Parts: sequence; structure tokens; C-alpha cells
Amino acid sequence: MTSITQHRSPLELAAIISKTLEGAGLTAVLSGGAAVSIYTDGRYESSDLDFVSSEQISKLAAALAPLGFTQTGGRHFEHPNSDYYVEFPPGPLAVGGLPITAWDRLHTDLGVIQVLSPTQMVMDRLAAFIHWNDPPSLDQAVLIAQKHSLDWKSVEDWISREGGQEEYETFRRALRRATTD
Amino acid sequence: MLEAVLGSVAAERTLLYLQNYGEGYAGSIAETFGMSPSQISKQLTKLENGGVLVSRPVGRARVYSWNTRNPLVKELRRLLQVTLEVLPEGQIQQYYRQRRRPRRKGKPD
Repeated sequence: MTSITQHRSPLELAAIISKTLEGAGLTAVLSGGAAVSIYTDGRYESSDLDFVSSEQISKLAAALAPLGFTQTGGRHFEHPNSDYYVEFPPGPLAVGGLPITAWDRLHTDLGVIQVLSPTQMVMDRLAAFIHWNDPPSLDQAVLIAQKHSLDWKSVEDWISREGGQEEYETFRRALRRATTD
Repeated sequence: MLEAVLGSVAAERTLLYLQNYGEGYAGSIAETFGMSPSQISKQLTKLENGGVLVSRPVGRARVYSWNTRNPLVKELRRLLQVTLEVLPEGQIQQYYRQRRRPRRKGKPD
């Protein structure tokens, strides 16, 4: 079993956890700040690894125990050798009002990470910008879009259902500025 | 530029804050810019009286947001958005990037 040490990056930690859970037959999909961090090569830093999962917390806890994780309340886990917090927000997995039933499998040296795709993560951050007026989420959406090819048709279909056309235009302008800087 | 049009720094900052975050109360706006809550409160009251903003009580605070029933507000917000987008990056990061996403109680900051 791969050990968890102080110097593990979010990518490595996510891979170890994802592989362990998949091996136990449990589904958990990385989203949130750690996914942003992975897709921006660390330009955005997060201290949390959020895996959305509808699995029973007792099953997740049992699967993670051999890695050294302890449940510290609710759906939240910590490891003595890591500064990162691992949480399992309950499902269903969705970006805004769109349920997500398929996601990416990111292959790494330490295993496969089940993670929202860059397009889904951009939608996720735009949802926070639209519904919660969260400006840092706008910046994160821009950072991801700068580094990855997106399925723009899916993003635009989603925006037309979700609402937030003005926020979407703000995002496109911010992306243009970031790309030309 | 807006400061010259609006006549005060407090009015400009209050409006830019509300454009950026969607809503706010005097204490949070004042704290963001290091100004006194009474200065900001005066602007918020003036803007509410002018039909630009509406307010509602939340706990002990009064939260202000845009009066979307006023057709001129949309145009005003367009101007404010353009102003926000040409601010220097330092100002953007200092004043206009506070987290608004929910964070579960007990989760470390």
C-alpha cells in the first residue's frame, strides 16, 4: 500500500484515496478546490480534498482506515502525516442544476483519480459565481479554461438552462483578457 | 472616474462592492475598504431612497441589494461592471475577491 507522507501533493493524495476507494467498490468523485488545483498545476491552492459520494460514511471510513485516515466528524477525515483535509460531501453529484452521471478518469503514477472534467469544473465554478456571487470562483474558472480545451457547447447549453448569461459574458471577457496578457 | 461622477469615494466603493458581490451591509462594506460604517450607511440610505437599492433585515444587520424593478439599475450595473474590469489587479485582489461560497461549519479556513 502506498504510504501517505507530509510531502504528498493534492494530486498524489487524491490518487491514493481514489484508488483505495475504487478498490473497495466505492464511488467518490473529486471536485472542489483540489480539482481546481490539479487542473491549474497548483496555481490555485486548496487545503481540502472534496470527494462527492453517496456511499455510506461507515464504508468510506472502513476503506480509508488502512491508509491511516481517521474520521474527525461528519463526513470529514484527517491524516496525521498530511495537512490536507478530506471530505465526502453527500451526492447527488451535480454542477448547478445539472446532475452529473459521467466524469473523467485521470491516470497518474499512483492510480486513477475519478474527477470532474475540466468542462464540468468550469461549470461548477461558474455556478458558484452565478448563484453565490463568489468572485474567486470566477478566477478559478478562468485559470482552468486557460489550461484546458473545454466542451464549449456543453458549457453554453448549461448556461442557457442555468441562467446567468451576464456572468457568463463576464467570464468570457475575463478569459480573453487573461489569454492576451 | 466614477468617484468624480458620483461625488465621493464612499459612493463609488459602495456601488462597486455591490456590483461585485451582489449584496452587502454597511459593516462588511466599511470593513472591506477600511472606512467608517456611518459613511457607508449614509450612501446606502441615499441609494435606497433614490430607488437604486432595496434592503431587508437579516439578524441585526440590514442587507442591501439591487432594485431590479428599476430599469435604470441594469444600465448602472453595466457601467459598474466595466469599471470593475479595468481596475488594477492589486485592487481587485485586495477588495473584490472575498470568498462567498458556503463553507461547512467546523471546516478549517
